[in-house]
Amino acid sequence: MKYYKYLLIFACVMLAACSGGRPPEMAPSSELPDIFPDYTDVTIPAQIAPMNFDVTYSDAEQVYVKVKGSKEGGMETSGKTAEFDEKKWHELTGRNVGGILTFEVSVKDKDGKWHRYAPFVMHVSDKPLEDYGVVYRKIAPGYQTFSKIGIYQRDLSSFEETPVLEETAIEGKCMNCHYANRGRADQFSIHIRGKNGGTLLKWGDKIEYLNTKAPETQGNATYGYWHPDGRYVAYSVNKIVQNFYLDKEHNIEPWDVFSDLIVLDTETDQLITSPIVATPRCETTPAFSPDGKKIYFCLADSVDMPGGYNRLKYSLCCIDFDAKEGKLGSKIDTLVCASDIDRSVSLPRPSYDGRYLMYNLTEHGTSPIHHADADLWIMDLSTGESRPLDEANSEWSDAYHNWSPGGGWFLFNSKRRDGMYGNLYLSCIGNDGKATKPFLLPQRNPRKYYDEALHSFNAPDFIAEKISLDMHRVRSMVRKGELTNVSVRK
Amino acid sequence: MIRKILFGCIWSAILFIGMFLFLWLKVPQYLLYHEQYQLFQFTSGYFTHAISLPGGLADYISEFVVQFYYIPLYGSLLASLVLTLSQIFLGLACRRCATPDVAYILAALPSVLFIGALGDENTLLSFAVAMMLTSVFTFGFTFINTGSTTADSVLLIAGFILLYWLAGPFAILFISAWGILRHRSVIFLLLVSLLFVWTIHRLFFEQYPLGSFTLGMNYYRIPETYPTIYFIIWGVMAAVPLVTLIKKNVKPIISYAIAAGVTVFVVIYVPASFNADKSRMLAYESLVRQGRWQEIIERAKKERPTDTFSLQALNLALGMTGQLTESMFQFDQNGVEGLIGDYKLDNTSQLITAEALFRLGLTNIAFSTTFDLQEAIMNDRKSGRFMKRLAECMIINGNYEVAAKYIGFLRNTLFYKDWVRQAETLLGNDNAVDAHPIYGPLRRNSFTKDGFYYHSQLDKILAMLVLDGSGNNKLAWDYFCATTMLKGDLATLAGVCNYYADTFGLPTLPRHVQEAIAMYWTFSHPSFDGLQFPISPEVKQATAALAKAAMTNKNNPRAWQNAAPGSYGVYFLRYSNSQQQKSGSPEYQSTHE
Repeated sequence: MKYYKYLLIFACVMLAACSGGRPPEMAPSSELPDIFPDYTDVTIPAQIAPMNFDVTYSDAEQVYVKVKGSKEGGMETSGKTAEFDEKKWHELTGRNVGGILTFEVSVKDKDGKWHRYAPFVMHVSDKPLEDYGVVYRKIAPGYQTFSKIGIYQRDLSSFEETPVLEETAIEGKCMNCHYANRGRADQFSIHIRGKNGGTLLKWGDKIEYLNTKAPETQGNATYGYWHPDGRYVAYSVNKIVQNFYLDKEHNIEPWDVFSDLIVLDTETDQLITSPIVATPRCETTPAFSPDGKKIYFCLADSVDMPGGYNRLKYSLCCIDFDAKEGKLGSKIDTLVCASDIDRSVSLPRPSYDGRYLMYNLTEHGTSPIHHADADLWIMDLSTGESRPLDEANSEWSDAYHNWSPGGGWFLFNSKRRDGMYGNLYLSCIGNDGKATKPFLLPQRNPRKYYDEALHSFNAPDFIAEKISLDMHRVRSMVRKGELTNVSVRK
Repeated sequence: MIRKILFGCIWSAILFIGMFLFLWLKVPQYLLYHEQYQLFQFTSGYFTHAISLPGGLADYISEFVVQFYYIPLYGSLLASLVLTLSQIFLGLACRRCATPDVAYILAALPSVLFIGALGDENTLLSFAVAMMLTSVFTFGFTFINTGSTTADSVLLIAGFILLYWLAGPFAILFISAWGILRHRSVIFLLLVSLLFVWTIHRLFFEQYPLGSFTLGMNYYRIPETYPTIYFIIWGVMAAVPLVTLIKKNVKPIISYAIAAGVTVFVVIYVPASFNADKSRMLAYESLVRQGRWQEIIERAKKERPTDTFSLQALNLALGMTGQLTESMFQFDQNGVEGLIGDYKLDNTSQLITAEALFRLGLTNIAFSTTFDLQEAIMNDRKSGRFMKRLAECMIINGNYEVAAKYIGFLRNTLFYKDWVRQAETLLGNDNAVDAHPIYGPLRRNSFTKDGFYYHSQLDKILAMLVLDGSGNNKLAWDYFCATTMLKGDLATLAGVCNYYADTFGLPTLPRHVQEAIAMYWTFSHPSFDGLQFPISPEVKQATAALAKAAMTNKNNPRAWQNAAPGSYGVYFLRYSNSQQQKSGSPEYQSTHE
C-alpha cells in the first residue's frame, strides 16, 4: 500500500514538473520577445543548425517556444535556453523550404508568472546552402602577440566544430588565414609564421610547404586567392605594421610598409610577377574573377606613414590574367577610384556566379576589421554600379566577407555585438538583389557561447566538405623547416 | 612501531612547516606571480575543459590551489599540504613494503626538490599535484594483491590509464614504483603503458605534439619545455622505492642522521635555487600590484635597485605618493626605460609598465599592453589580474559590453568576485563612473584627440595628456618632467613649463625640476637673474656648486655627488658623459634656440 502512496506522490511531482514546462493558454502581448541572437525576421537555409536562442530578461526562469511551419509541421521546446532538437529542426525546415517558421515565445519569470510575446518569424530560403560548413581562424582580437589560435571548421548543419590546425600542433607558431579554392577542402593554403615559417599548400593528397619569398620579391605571400582552375594562387606580398591609437574611439591602425602582387604557379612553384603590380605604390588583397581572366585588387598611392595614415586610401582595380600563358596583363583598370569617393576600398570578393563583387569601404586604410566605419558594399558586375549593403551593415565593422560556392549565400565578420570581438554572420542575396537580415552563426547555447568567447572569427569562408589534414606530415615539415623554395618565372 | 609512527609524523610535520614558512615568508612574491597567470573558475565548464586532456585533474587541483596564492598565507598552506601529502603517501607506500624509516625520510626529496624548482617562475604546481596523485595511487595499489599476475597486471594497467588521465605522464612512475615495491618486472607493463599513450595521441590528439603526451602537457608554463630539475625529481621519485630493497633493519640513529642530512641539503639547496635579483624584482612587482607604494620606496632605499624593472616600480611608487620629481634622483636612475618600458613580447616585462600606463590615464595603451600580457601567457591560460584590468579600461572608455564580458569571467572566482559586485554597478552608468575615485579622473584625463603611441615620444605624449586635459593630471605631469629629465632634454622641459605657465598659471616646481631648470639656465646665463620660475636658494646654491665641480673635476662623478648629493644635476652630468662617450660628441641641448 505504502508503495502506491509513493508512486502517487511521484506521479504528482512529475505532473507538476511537466505542467510547469508549458505556459497556460493566454493571449500574446504586442511586444516581440527580447532574444539573443536577434533571429527575428531572418532568412535561413533549410540546412542550417538549429537556431537556438536565449531570452535576455534578467528575471527569466524558463522559456517555452512553439514553432509552426507555414507549410507543415511544428515543434516545441522548453528550458533555460530555447534549444531545438536537431533532427526535428531539420525535418521542420526541410518541409518548409520557401516558407515561414513562426515562433511563439513564452517566458516564465522568477515569480512563476508566464508572459507570452508576439510571435516572430524566420524565413526558410529556397536557396540551398550546399556547403559542409564554414572555416575560420579563432584568434583573440589582440595586438602584437597571441595565445591559443587555430583554424577550425564548423559543420553548418550541426554544432560540431573541429580543428583544422591549432598552434599547439606546430610549437606555438602563428598561422594566418586559410584560403581555399571555392571552398574546396582539398585545395587551400595556410601561412605559418615564425621560425621555419612558410606557406602550407594542399591540393589533392599532396601537401607542400613553400618559402614564397624569392630573391626578387620583397617578402612572403600574405593575402591569397585561388584561380578557379586550381593551378594558380594570386597573393599579395605585404609587410604589415601596426600603430596603436591613444584615444578611445580608435584602436589599431595596421598598414603596409610595402605590398605587391604575385601569382604562384603551384605546378612549377614559380612566381609570376610584373613590374606593373610591383611598384612603390601599395597593391594588395587580390581576387580572381570567377572566369579566371582578371584579378581584382586594391591599389593605393603611397603616403608618408604613419603620419599620413588618414590619407592612405585604396582604389578597387583589376588587371587581366592569362591562365594559359601564365601572364599578367599590361594595363590596370580602376573600378572604384578612392579619390573620387574619398574613401578606401578593401577585400574585393566576386561572387562565384560572376554577378556581384562585394568589398569594404572605410574612411581610410587597408584593414576594415579595425575600422568601426567599415561597411560592406556590393557591385553589380553587369553594370559596374555599387551600393552599400545597408541591409547587412551595422554601426560597427562589417568585413571579411566571402561567398558560398553554391551561390547566393555569403558570410562576413561583424563586430556589431560589442565593437571588439568579430562574430560570424550569414546572409543571402535575394531575388530582388537585396541582402536578407544577417543572422549570427548558431550555437547550442548561444548566449553562454558568445559571452564567454574571447576570440574573433577571423577570415571566415565556406567549405564544401570537411577538411582533413595529415597532422604528422604537417608537424614534421614545420618542425624541420622542409621548405621548397619558389623562383620567379623569367 | 610507535616510535616509527611518531618519527614519521614529526618528519612530515617538519617538512610541512618548513615548506610553509619558506613559501609564506621568504618567497610570497612567487606565489603572487603565479596567481596572476591563471583564472580559476568555479564552473562546470572550467572543470570539464580541464579534464578533457591528460593530466587535467592535476591541472584543475593545481589551479584551484594556486588561486589561493592571492593571499600568500593560504596559498603557502595549501601548496605545502600538497607536497607533504606527496611525501606521506610515497613514504607510506614504501613503509607498507616492510621498509625502514629511510624510505619515509627520502620520500621527502621529490617535494623539497620541487620547492627548489619553484625558483624557476614557470614551474607549475601541476607537477607537484601530479606527483601527489601518483604517490596516492602508488600507496593505494600496494593493497592490490589478487594472487594472479594477470589480474594484477590488468588492474595495474587500468590504474595507469586512470592515473594518466588524471595526472599525466607521472603515471609511468606509478608503474615502476609498484614493480619495485612488489618485486615484479614491469617492463612489459611499461611498454603497454607507452603504447597506450601513443595510441590515444594518434587517435584523438593530433593537434598536440607527442612529446607533451609523454613528458607532460602542463607541468611547465612553456609548452614542450622540461627543465632538468624535473628529470631529477622523476629520477629521485623512481629511486626512492629502491630503498625498500634494503633487507636489513636500519638503526634509528642512521635514520636520524639521514633525516639530518636531508635537512641540511634542503637548507642549502632551496634558498640557493631562488635567484636573488629575480626575487627582488618579483617582490617589487608584487608590491606594485598591491599598491604598497611606501613599502616599495623603503625597500628601494635599502636595496638601491638599478635594473629597469625595479626602477619602474620605484618610480611609480614615487609618482603615486607625489614624490617622483622631488626625490627620484636620490636613487640610481638609468634612463626612460626605468619609467615606462618599451614593448616586449613576453608575459612579465611589461607588468609594471602596464600599471603605470593605466595610472597615467593612457587607457588605450594600458589596455593593449595588458591584453598582450594576457595573450603572452605561454600555456594559454587567462589571468584574473589582467581580466580585471581589461574590464577597468573598458569601463573607463565606456565600452560596457566588452567590460561585461570580462567581468563575467571574474564572477565565478573566489578573490575577484567582490570587485565584480562593485564593477557591475558601474556598467552602463556613466554618472557612477564619473564619480568613481579612480575611474572618474582617469576618464576625464583620457586622450580625446586621435594620435598614435610611440615609446620614443613618450615625453610628448605625456605633455599632450596634461596640456590637452585640465592640466591637473599630476602623475602625467610628473612623468613628463621625469621623462625629459631622464632623456636630458631640458629644452623641452623648460618649453613645456613655459607653456604650462601660460595656460594654467605658474606651476609649483618640485625640487628636481627646479634643479633641471636651474641647470638649463646656467648653460646660457651667467646668473639666475631673469629666470621666470621660482628656484629656491638651496637649489641655486647647489647648482652653482655642481657647475663648479663639473668644471674642475670633469671626469669625477664622486666630486659632483659631493657637491650636490641626490640632485638631478649629478644624473644629468653622468648621462651627458655617457652620451658623449657613445657618440663622441656632446649632446647638451643647452641653448634657448
